[in-house]
Amino acid sequence: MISLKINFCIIYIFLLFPNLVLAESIKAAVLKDENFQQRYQQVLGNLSPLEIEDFTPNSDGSHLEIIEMIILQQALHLGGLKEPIVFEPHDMANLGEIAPIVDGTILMFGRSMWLQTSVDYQGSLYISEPVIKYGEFEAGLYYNIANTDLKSVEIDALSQLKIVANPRWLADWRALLNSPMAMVNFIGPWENMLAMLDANIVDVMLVNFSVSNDLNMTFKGKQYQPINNLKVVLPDSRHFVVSKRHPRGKEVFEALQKGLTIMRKLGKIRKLYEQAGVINSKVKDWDIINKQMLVL
Amino acid sequence: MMRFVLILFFVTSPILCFAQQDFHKLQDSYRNLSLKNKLLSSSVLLPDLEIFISQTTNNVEKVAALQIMAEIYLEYDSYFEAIQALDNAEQLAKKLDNTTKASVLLSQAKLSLALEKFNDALDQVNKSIEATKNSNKLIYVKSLILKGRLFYYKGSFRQSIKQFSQVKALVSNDTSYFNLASIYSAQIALELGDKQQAKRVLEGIELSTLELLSEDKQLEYQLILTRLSMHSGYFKTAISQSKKLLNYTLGTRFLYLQAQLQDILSKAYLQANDYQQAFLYLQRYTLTTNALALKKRNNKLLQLEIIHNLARKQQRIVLLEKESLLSKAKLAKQAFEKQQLQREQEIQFRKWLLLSILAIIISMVLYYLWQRDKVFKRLEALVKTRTQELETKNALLEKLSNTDSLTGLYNRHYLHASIESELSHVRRKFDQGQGEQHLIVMLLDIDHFKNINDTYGHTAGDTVLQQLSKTLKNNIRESDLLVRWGGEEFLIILRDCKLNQTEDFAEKLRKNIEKNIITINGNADKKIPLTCSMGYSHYPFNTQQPEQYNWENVIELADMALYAAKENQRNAWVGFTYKQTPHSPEKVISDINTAITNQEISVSSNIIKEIKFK
Repeated sequence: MISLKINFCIIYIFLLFPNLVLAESIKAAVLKDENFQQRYQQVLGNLSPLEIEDFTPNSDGSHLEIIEMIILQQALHLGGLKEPIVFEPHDMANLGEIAPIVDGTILMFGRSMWLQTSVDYQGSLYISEPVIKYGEFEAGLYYNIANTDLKSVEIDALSQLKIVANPRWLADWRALLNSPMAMVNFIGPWENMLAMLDANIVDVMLVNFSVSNDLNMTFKGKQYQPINNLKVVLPDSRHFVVSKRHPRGKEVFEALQKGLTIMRKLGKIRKLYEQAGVINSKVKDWDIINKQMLVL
Repeated sequence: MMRFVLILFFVTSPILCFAQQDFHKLQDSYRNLSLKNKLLSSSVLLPDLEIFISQTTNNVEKVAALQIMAEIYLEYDSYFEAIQALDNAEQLAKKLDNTTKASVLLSQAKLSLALEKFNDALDQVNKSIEATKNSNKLIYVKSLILKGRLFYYKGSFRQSIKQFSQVKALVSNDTSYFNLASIYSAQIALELGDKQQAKRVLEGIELSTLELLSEDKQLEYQLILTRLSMHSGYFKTAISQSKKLLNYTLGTRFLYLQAQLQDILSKAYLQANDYQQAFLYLQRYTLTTNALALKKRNNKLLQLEIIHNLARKQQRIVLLEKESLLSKAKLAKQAFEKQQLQREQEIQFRKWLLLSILAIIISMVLYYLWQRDKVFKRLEALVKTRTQELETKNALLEKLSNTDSLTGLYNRHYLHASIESELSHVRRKFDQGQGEQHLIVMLLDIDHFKNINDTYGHTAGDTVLQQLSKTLKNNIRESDLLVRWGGEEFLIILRDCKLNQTEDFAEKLRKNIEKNIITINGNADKKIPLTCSMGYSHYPFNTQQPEQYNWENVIELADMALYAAKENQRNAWVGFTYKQTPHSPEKVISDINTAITNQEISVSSNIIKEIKFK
């Protein structure tokens, strides 16, 4: 009975001061429809995200979200926010649903955003220093491995190729507008774009380099590989964004900026991205087909 | 409605007489059309421009007019016509100066940009830059600005910034080009999230010079300011500025500008927590972008159509070329075949000609040979005939020459010609010691023949000669020879005759002549008694030496015997036979009496009395 009373008291106190509970946890929104949490937990194992010094991908597929969850936590921690970060699955698919972060319902996203998609919201959002700088994000020209004609393609022969691209992926679209290839506009699921490769409707599509040793990507039993020695720079930088209207927005952003600066100085950001395969060191010496976009 | 007509009148009335005006006025009038009036009135300019183009001889102005036409077509999204106008301009510009060429290239680049043919646009603008780098600063700067915009639309912001920095370094800060480059630089700075930089750039523009910019460029400047307000968190300002601009551009075809404004409004309302308005403008933005996408799709379709038409044209050209090649080949083949045929015909003709000529020649030769043969045959026949005739004549002649025409007997000529072989034959026999048979040489003369002629006439004389000839013939052997020696004198040569037979023969002949009474013309009354005197000798005369007495000697001896028969009796015969004499024939002949007396020669005769010799 006494314990019941104590419990009621505690609940009452929490009800009176809800901020005490909220202040304890920092929430970052992550995409609900992709099962990053599970893979995230698998990567961490028994380790705390703050303890990750070296990252080893344990599966195929993109590790961008996972490594960014780790970078975000480490940066905030280094920036002075020692409290745990809670990643909340969210329905957001694009910036049409950016309203919650604009109005402060959501504090921040658990992953970085392209600058171009967030720049118009800079009146409402804090945009961090770039975690992936302009020119660091590269992708390969993937083709179905059965299409042996593409095994070896010279840069001069690219104008003969057709590439499928989604105009809503601005960075991809802009990158390819500055390549010699003929672009096929496609708005739809990513899997369908792969099907276009399988059916030889198009020759290639732009895909982040795979973490596998041979850079090959496997999807539903089919293998895809990048055209050897050619890569595309995505002409944008990626940033974390924090809501200006969230009560803890400013505080979190400042910690984030501070932490990112420290990590950048330590070379940790680049290292973790490289280890996750987001920035792929295997293609370091490959030719950039849109290198004119890197002009300063 | 009335208001609209009035507006149309006021807007178009100054334009309607453009064709008569100076081209530059026309150009300026077009440039000065307000954003709203442009749409309303620019199409009205087209007929005037067409008239101007058809009338002017100034190709530079013609090109400029075509460029304006292309711009007007572009405002109405009539890309195909715009392409055609610029193609015409390009053709004309080929013969003109570099500036005009570059100007056309710039127009083409604008068109390519509108069609999102970025690579073509880049190629054209680069050519324009290259052409005007050192010659025409105005077009050069315009080209640089267009290139910067091109990079912007391609999303290559860094290249774009670099381009505008280059422009700003080239022009002074009070020019429209400087302002334009600044505006576009600020726009990119905003894209890259650098609002401070954007602000700095915009502050560099002298507000008083903003009016130098065209209306649409001023609108773009306003748009950037609006976006800057939004980026700076001044959502209400951004909203009011955007709405103002949006209202201004309503009814224009600046869809891209409107979409940007709607996007700003949507985002600004969202950030101002007015979700209803944000959603409204998001919807409008979506509609506008859909319209733009539709426009783009149409452009793509148009391009595809153009490409398709071009491909079809090329295909047709290729087909036509192939057809032409085929027909050429066919014609060539036909010509070749014809030539072959002609050649074959010619060869055939020549062959036939040759054959014909050959046939003709052969025919002619054959004909000639035939004719020749015929002639030959005829000649041969003729020759034969002639030869026969000749032979006949010769035979006749020979006969005539060898015979006596009256009696048909051999004449003295014949005897001379033939006697030698007889003589040599006999002589050989005697030389071989086989000689027994002599040639008896007997001369016969008609007794008193002169009297017969005188009495009965010469015809009767001839008859006598003829009848005597017959008698003589009848009395000699066929192997013997009878010759009319001359006048009424005959010579008989008896072959292979023994000497002792001669007397009998002579006597028998004498008697037969005597017996054979001659009748004249069958008249029994005219009978003529006929006798002959004969003298004979023999050959070889000296059988021991057959060659001692030649023929002439023997004849002479016979003649001497005849003479003796005549002189001593008539109707008589005398014959000399050799005995033996040491004297020469000449001596014997000249002195026959001595020889007879000395019995060197024996005499035979039917004369009984003593015979006297001369």
